[in-house]
Amino acid sequence: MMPTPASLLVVLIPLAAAVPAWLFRRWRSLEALAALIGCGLVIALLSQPATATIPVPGLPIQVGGSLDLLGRTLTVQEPDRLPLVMLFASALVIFGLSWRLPQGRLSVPLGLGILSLVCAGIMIRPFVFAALAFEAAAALAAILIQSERMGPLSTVGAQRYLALSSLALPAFLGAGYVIGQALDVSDPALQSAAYQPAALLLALGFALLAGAVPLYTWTHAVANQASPLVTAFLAAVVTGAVTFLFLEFKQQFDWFRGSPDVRAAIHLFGVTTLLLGGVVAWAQRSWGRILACCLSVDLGAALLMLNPETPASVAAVAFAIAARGLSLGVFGAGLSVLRSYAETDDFARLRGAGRRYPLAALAVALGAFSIAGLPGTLGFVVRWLNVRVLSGTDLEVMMIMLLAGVSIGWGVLRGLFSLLAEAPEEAGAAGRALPVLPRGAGASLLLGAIVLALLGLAPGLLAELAGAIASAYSFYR
Amino acid sequence: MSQVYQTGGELVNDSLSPDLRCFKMSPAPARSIIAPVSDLVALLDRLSRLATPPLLAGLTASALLIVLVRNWRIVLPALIVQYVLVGIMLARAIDPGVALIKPLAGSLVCMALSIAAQHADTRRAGRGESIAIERIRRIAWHSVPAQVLLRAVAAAVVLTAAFGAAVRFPLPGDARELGLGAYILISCGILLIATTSESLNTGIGLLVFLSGIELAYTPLEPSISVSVLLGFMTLFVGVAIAYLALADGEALVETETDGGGQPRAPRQGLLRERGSRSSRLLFRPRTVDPGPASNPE
Repeated sequence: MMPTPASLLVVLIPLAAAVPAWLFRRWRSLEALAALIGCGLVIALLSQPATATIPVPGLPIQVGGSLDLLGRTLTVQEPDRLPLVMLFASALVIFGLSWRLPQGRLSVPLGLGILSLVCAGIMIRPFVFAALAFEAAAALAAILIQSERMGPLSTVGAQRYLALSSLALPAFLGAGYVIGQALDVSDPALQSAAYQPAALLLALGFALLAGAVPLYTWTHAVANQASPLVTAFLAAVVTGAVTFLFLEFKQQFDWFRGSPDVRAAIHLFGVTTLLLGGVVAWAQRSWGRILACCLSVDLGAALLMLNPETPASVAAVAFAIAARGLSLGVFGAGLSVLRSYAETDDFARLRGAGRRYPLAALAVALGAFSIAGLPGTLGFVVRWLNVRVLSGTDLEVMMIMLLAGVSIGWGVLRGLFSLLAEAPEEAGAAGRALPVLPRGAGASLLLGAIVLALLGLAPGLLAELAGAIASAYSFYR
Repeated sequence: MSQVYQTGGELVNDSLSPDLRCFKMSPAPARSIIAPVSDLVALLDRLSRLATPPLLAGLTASALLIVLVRNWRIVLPALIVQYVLVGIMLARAIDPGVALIKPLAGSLVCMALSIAAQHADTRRAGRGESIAIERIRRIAWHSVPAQVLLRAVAAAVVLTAAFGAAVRFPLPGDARELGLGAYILISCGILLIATTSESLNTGIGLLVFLSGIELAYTPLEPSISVSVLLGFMTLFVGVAIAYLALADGEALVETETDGGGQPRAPRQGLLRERGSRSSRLLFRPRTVDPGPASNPE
């Protein structure tokens, strides 16, 4: 019997899980269970090496097998295997957190659809089709961001995400064409010049997908408007997939890796994104905006790690994606509770809410401080890895990164002071129904916070995974 | 496929029958589906032999109409016409059967958008607000809004830039006459995205932009799979825009007057969800000590 390529299952399993998740969307437990089983199955599948064949009775699965579809191949290559595991693990954490903290009726099925598409984008060759997969994922993400919200200007975040992702599409298509033309050039000197437009187009496309240009257009709108865990999902899974696709390009194309223009562009995008997040974070007055600044700073730092070609920088990128999923997930879970409680996330209107919901306040504080890089949190390890890479190459940018972390920490402290202050007296409030957390939500928050704290104190497991991802690439050798 | 449409819609070649048997489909209904499609392909093939200037003029006129007018009852038919023109132009570079995907996908998207826009208008009519059809019936020709003039100036600038770009930076490939059309659509799409805030108009701008990209890229990579996937992109993006347009249409519900007759301030979209559906999902009401903030329940 012909073994089934794992790449097909990586795409189909999330889609198959999305069906029961959609059918059982009224029963949160079943919906979450379908998503968790789907993600768990793919993680189990991809935990085997790419050369392995899994002897499932009646359906042997070849992990590294190729699926040919209309002349295009879909393969789990060894450098892609662990990144895919990391993306599914991040999605699993966020789906798990959304079990008792619903983020919209369609969030889980749509999330699974997006997961399937971005994974197909990582595995498919030629990469022009990856751009199409990411565009389709962006269309689904627009619905996910909007969720069931309605209101004046409520669609801005979804619109911007969709428009910016669509603007990235021609960059990738154009690059695909230029590469095809450059392959016909035989003179090596001329060939490097022929590849130059492709390298620039790809850098622009990646920056648009990663939310780097034009500055923070979608990151702030999405973080303010989308459900917090949806923001975490997009930041960890979709942007993570874009990052791994970038690394895959570096692995595959020498001209892309060696292009000084790409380095300069990525450096510029990274610094501006980091700088803007850091400059405005301390002065924010709502948790949504703090979340947006966290996102900007973390994405900017990740972009800066894409330039150096060392195992440490690749490990830092991989570690940052895992840490982002967990940190923003816990932050988002806590913020969901606070937003539902007060109908807003303004510091002023949430005064005293932390006393009412201490677990939500704990989750928000831990998640945000983790992104800020507070020692003892998971984010500190990320910043430590970043500093190790940058200290040898760019001290100014290293300082900007550290100061951006301080700025976020300052903003978070301001929010926490308000959250934990004494609640103002409200006329006619006595005897009125007060919302309480549903069963299990507190446990989700507590579990998330504990896992985040434990991994911050003992990051060995994630560091091992990040190291394994880095060692699978060979472009820096 | 060529054997099918060269007969002018009459299926004389029965080589399809074994394939149809594989799908357990009898030939008669299959022919009833395929024959009109064959006619369309043949028509597209004939139209693609038209001279370029009329096609480009039609494309420019439709793009201008879409940029200038913000009324879905005018804009969506113009968008359908534009999709047909794009299909005809694509048929000059690729197989007409493949080029047909574009107008078909575009028409489907326009249908979805019109349903969403009609739904939003019904809501607005219920609230006594101005709707698209009324704005057409009671059009005030004597007073052209300043916004239209501004859009006209911007469109003129953008079209000039598109023409300049097409001359100075002609797109590669054999079908260079498509370059100007692509530049016009891309620039008008970006202009529309940049100058509107409503989801429907922004979305239409995005669709125009994607049509321009397709017009530019398809002659460079004339493969069936790319064309089919770009058609799917149109559908995906169209569905997302229809969803956002529905959300926009519901938006003004929030400005209704409340029980006291005072107009309620428009609340941010997220808050409504939090205040209504999400809160109900997340919290179970319980009577306890007073909390610090008002309870939406």
